[in-house]
Amino acid sequence: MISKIKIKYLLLIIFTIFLTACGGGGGSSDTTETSFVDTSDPTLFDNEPYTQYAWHFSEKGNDFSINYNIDPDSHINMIGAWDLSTGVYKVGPLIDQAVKVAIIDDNFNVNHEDFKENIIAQCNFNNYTGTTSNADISAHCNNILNQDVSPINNESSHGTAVTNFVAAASNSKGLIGAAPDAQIILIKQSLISDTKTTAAFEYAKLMGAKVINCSWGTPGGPSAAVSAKITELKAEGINIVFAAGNDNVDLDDPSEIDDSELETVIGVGSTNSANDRSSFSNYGSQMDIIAPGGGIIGVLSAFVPNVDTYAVIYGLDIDNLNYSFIHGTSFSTPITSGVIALMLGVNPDLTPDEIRTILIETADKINSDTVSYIDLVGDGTNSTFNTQRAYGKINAAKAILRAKNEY
Amino acid sequence: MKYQLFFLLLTNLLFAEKYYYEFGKKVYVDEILKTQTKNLSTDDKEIKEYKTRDDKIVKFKNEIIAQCKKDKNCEDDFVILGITNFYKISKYFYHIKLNSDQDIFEFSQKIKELDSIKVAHPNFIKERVYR
Repeated sequence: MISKIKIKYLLLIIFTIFLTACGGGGGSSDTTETSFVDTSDPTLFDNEPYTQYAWHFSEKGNDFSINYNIDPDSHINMIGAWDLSTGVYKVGPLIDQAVKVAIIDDNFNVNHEDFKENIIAQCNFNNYTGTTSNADISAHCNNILNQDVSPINNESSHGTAVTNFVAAASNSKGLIGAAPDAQIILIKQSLISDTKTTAAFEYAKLMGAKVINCSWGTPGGPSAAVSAKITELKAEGINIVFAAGNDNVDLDDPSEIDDSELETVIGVGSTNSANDRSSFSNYGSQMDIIAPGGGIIGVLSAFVPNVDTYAVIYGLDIDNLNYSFIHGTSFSTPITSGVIALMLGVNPDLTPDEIRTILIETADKINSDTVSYIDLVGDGTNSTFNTQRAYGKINAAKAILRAKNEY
Repeated sequence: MKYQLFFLLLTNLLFAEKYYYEFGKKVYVDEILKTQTKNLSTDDKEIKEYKTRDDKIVKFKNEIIAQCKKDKNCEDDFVILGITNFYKISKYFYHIKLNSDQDIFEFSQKIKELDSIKVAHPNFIKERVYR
């Protein structure tokens, strides 16, 4: 991957020299004039066979979007974002460092064609005894017996679908993830104790993760110890992203206590193909942002279909059974984690608080002509809030430009 | 008087309220007595279920998770309390395994009340819901 990036940069340098030699390369540096028109290298996205169905990333304008009434604004402006970042940053001349994203989930198909090249570590914490020291967490995960994170019989895997949204590579297979050059750390956990959860978070940190994706919730909410661990990680510059859940409930109800409501995490709700909150998405005053997670039409990902798929229902041209359409805030969350990785790709020094502020202030206020967004801060910025739509839907290109201080 | 004191002690011992501290509050619980299934592994048989006063079910073994305050030495305090089976799981977090004769509520309270401790409660076992 590094060599691929190096070649890309070399070509860019040669192209720039060519432009300069021809008297080109000029243009306004006034960043207020920034346009979000798709001017990107089309090969990054368009070589992926199922990109035509990825309404969540960019406007399609094709038969699929017309036939299924997909709102042309339902995407998050990803093409513009990939012009600026693919999830790597420079640490020296011609030396690139990929942003590392850890995904804690049920299990993963580590041989999936769409993202296997981006996996740098994997560990199963279901069998972690919790009786070891910090160094032994690494020892546990260095033991090959503890590296099996696969589902039994390679059945459908929630974690596989989630991973695809974060970092499916640009490899002419399937789709592309939000941060196609990010590196991923896969952590398997299901029935868990607080010590195992704490150890899993610690492993993500030890492996260098700057983003931890949590497309799950804990009934009754997180314990005091797990909340304290998350607070500690945030203080160390790690972004933790949680899914809001799919029960269409107001999380402000005192009986609803949810991990996504922690002030130290980014809580993510879902938007649908009509460019509004998905009817299933939980909401409330502690939500931060919303991002596409399906609804009306699902979002396509690496998921082996069990029963029905939109591909079957609508007769779409998907002949590879490694992919299907799915719904859930679980999938809004990795899209958000991927966008954060892109932001860190242009500015690796951003703190979690700065990242949250940027996501909020650059978000698109969907449905703002029919619902009101309240200015909670009163500072005249874009940080207005609607209980069901949080601070709005992620706009990836704007967020990355702001991360670069160019918007 | 002697008998009254004895009776008071006995009722305290028999009917002591079970609680632990979480998020700065006392959480009172009652044990749910369940018939153990033969198929359960030894590890699972150690899991006990309790109902909190606000009707939530919590599950844990005879284990505690504790967060030490920065710049404090919790390990010496654990030893003073007679706890020997404890392990560091990250910089400030400890996994404490109690002996079968050590009461989890008594020790959760004692540990939480230590000056060196920020958080201490049973090591909850929870199920994840994927979304």
